[in-house]
Amino acid sequence: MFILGPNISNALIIYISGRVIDELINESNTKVEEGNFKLLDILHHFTSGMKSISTEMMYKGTDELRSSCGGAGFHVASGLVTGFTDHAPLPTFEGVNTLMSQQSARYVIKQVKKAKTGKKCKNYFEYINHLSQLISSKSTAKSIEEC
Amino acid sequence: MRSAFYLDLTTGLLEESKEKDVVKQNELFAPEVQKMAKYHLIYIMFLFTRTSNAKTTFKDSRIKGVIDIVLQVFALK
Repeated sequence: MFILGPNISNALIIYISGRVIDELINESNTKVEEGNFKLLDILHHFTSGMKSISTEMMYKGTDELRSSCGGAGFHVASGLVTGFTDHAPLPTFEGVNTLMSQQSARYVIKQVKKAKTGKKCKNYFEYINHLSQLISSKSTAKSIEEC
Repeated sequence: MRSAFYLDLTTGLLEESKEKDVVKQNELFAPEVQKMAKYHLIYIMFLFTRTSNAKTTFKDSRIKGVIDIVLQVFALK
């Protein structure tokens, strides 16, 4: 369970985040048709970064699950072998992950610089406005439920 | 928290160095930049799922609770 659990959670979160990104892409397409290109920058940040993260999670996760099955994991009948070989090139295709996450990082660095000049970051980047407070804060939780 | 820590650490390192931006991001502090992007995006994915879960109405009301547990596993692992 300690191997399967995190991988199932990764798969579900990737799926749900993908749907949110889909909605954002549709919203952006509508705005682009109206001549508004504002969402393109943030979409590039999300899509390049999530491509890198999700393909890495997929690659490592499938390999983890395959090796957990012992010898059976190497057997074609397990379904893991074909799945793994089909998806293994994804971290390389359409932009190597290293490059993708670096492209994504540039937007975050821009946001941090913006926050340091006194301007407020909005929406998903709001936590950047309170970096120092977040780092110096201490948890008062005494049990898992309180976390 | 993890994302905030790496953001602060990496941007601090980038500010201290007097090299060109490209050299700092692609060579000198490339591993830190990668880590920072990774943890930031994990946080963003967490946020996406949490807001989407709060907005969505499921036919089976128990699903929300299951996704909450999935979110906890994703955040803590």
